Amino acid sequence: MSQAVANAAFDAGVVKSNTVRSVCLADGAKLLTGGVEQVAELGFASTCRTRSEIAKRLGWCPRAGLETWERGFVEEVSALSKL
Amino acid sequence: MARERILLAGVTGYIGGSVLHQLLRSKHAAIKDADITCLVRGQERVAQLHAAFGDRVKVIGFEGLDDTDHLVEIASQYDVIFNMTLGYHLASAAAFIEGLSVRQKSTGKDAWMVHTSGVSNLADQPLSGVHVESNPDLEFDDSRDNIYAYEKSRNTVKKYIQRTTELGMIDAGLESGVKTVVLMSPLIYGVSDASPQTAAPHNIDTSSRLERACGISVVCKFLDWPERRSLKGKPSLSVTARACGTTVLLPPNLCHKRTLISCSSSYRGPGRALRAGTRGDLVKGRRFSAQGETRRCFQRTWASHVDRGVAGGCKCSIRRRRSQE
Repeated sequence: MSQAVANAAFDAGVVKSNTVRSVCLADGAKLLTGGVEQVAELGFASTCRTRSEIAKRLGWCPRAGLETWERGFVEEVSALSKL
Repeated sequence: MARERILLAGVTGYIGGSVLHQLLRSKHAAIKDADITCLVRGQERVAQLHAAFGDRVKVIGFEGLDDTDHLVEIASQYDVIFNMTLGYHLASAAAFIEGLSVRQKSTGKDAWMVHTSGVSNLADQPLSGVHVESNPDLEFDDSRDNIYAYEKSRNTVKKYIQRTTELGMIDAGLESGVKTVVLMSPLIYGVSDASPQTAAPHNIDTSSRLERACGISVVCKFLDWPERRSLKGKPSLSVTARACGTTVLLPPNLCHKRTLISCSSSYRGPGRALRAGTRGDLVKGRRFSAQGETRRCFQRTWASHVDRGVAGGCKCSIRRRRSQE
C-alpha cells in the first residue's frame, strides 16, 4: 500500500522518489497523529481482518474491488495535485 | 404502519453526508416513506440544510454533543438513530440510547441505534507489543464470532477510547432493550463527491448540494508558504479547514505543504476540543490558545482523526471563521 501511494505520487511528479522507508512508531506517531502512539499504531501500523457476513446476508453487494482500490491512489494524488 | 422516524446525527461529516445521500436515494419502502431528520450544530447549518433539501428532510439544531439532556429529549421522538458523530463520545451515544428507550416504551415498537465505529477496535499492536495475536491469520466473521466479547476482553487489558465508547453504547442498549447495530469501518478516505457512481440521477447530485449548502470541502488545503502567519512570534502555516469553518494554525515544521485530511477530521478535531472546555471562547473571529486539558483533548481528537499526512502538531491556536465557499 505504501509503495502504491509512493508510485502514484511519483508518477504524478509530486515527489522526487518512490522509495519507501520505514519509521519507528514514535516517529510515525509524530508524523501522523500528533505523537499519540496508540492511535498511530492502531490506525496505521496494525492488522485486522474482518468479514462482513451480516451485511452481505442483508443484501450488501460490494461492487468495487482491487482494481478500484488501486485506481484510488492515482485519483487521490490527482485530487491532491489540484490543491 | 406508522411512518418510521429516523434521526441522523453527523450529516455534515464525511460518513454522515454519504449516508444521508444514500438514504435519500433509497427505493426501499421503509426508507422512502420515512421521516428523516438531521441533527446539526447551529442555526446556520439548519438553514443551509433546509435550503438544500427543502421538505424532504427535517432539520433540528442543537448545541453540541455535551448537551446530553437535550439529546435525550430529541432522541425520544425517533425510532431509529444513525449516530455518525464522534466515535469516541460515549455521553452522547448513551443519551441517544436513553431517548430511544423512552420512545420504545411509548410506542411499544423496537427502537434501533446504528453506531459508527471502526475496526481499529480489533486491530493488533505488534510494534508496541501491547497486543499480539497468537494466531497471525486471525479473521473476524461478524456472523459467527462474538466480537463484543472479544472487545470486552481487549478493553480489560488496555482501554481504547473508540472501543470503550462502542461497548458502553452496546451495554446501554442491552440494559434498556434498545437494539444496537455497530458499523465498524476501516480507515475511510477518498474524495467523497467525485465518484460518478454516487451521483444521483437527473444530474442532481445531492452530496454536492449538501457540500455547497454546508460549505463542506472534503479536501482541506495546507496553504502555500506565503500564507504563513505569525503565532506567538513563531511562523505558522495556515490550514483552511473549510468543513468546520475553522482555521487551524500549525507550526510549519509539523506540516507538509500539501496534505489531505478527510472532512470529518478537520471538522471533528477542533470542534470537539472547543466544546471540551472553552465554549465561552467559541466566538466567531476571536482567537484563543488551547491550554491544559482542552489542549490535550485537542491533540488527541485531532490526531485520532487525521486520515493521512501530517497534521501532527496541535500546539496551535485555532480560530473560528465563517465557512468559505
